[in-house]
Amino acid sequence: MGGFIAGIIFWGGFNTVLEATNTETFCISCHEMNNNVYQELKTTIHYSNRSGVRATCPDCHVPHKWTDKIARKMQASKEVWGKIFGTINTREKFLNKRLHLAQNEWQRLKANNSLECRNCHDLEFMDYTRQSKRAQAAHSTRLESGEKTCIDCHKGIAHELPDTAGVEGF
Amino acid sequence: MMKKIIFYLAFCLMGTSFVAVAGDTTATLRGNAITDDAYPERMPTIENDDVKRARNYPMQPPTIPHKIDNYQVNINVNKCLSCHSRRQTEESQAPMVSVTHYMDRDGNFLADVSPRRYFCNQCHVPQTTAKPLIKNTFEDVSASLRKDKEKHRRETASVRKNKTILVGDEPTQPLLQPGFPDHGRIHRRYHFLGWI
Repeated sequence: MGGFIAGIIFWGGFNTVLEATNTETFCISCHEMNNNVYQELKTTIHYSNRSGVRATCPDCHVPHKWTDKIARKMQASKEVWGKIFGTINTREKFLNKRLHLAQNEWQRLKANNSLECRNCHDLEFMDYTRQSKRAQAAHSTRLESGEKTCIDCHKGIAHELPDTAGVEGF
Repeated sequence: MMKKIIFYLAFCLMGTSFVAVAGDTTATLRGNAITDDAYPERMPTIENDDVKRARNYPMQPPTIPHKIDNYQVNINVNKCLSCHSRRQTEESQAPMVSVTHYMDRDGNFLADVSPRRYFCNQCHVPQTTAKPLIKNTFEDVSASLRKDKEKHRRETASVRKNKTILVGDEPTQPLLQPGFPDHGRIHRRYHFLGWI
C-alpha cells in the first residue's frame, strides 16, 4: 500500500516536472532562447495571426507522443550541458553555432516526416481549393506523393535562417 | 492713405485665396478636416493570385504577384532566389530572374546573382488591392504610338479627300499638298528593303 502511494507521488511528480519543462515559459527562462529564437518567432505567423491560434516552442520542437517525447527529453540533456558550459551564451557564439543547430532540427524533422508540423497541419484535412495556386501545385504533387516533407520547403518559417550556402533548396 | 488701404486690402485678399487653395488640395487627399483625427483606412490586402501583370514600360521591374511576408533577404539567405534563381527554377517552375541580374556593371557575366541586384525589393514589389488616391493618366509607349499612328492615318485620309486637317479643336496646316503622294509613308512602309 505504501509502495502504491509512493508510486503515485513519484509518477505524479515526474510527470508534473516533465510538463513544466514542456512550456514556453520554461524555454524562454534562459536568455539564450529568449533573446535569440523567441524574438524571431514573434514576427512570424506562428506567433501572431488573424485567428489567434499560435504555436509555442514545444509544439514544434518536442514530439507530442509520450515515448517520442521521453526520447527527445533524453536528447535534451545535452542542451542542459550546453547551458551549464555556456556554449551559446553570447549572440556571437549563438550565430556561429546557428547552422549546426538548425541542421539538427532539419534532420530531426526530415527523419520523422515533419511530425510536429503535421500535429496541426494534417494533409488529410487540407483544402486545396482554399490554397493559392502555387501552394496547390506543390502540396497536391510532391507532398502528397511523399517525395517531399514539410521541412524540405518550409525552412526558416519560424526563425531566421543561418547562412544557407550549400544547403539544399537554396 | 487711400493707396495704403487698397494695398493692404489686396494683400489680405491674396492671402485668403492662397490659404483657400492650399486648404482645398490638402483636404482632398486627407478626406477629413485637418483638425480632426481620421479613422484609419482598412489595411489593403496583398494580391496573391500569381497572375503576371503587364509592364507599364519595357524596362519596368515586374511586380510580384504573390505574398512575400517574412521573406528573408540578407547576408545569410535570399528567400526569393530559393525559387527564382537559375538553379531552382526547374523545381519551382517560377520565372528565372533576368540574365541582367547575373551581370556586373561592366557587363561581365557572373556565376551567381550580382551583389548590386541581390536585394530584390529595391525594385520588385507586391501589389495591394488599395485604390489609388489620385487617378493616374499614365499612358504607356505602345498606346501613345498607336494613337500617333491613328492620328497620322486620319490626317493622310483627309489629305486624299482634299480637306484641311483638324487635329483636336485647332485648325492646322495640311501636312501635304493635295495631289502629291505621301513619300514619307511609302518610305516607312518599304524602308526594311533598304538593307537587302
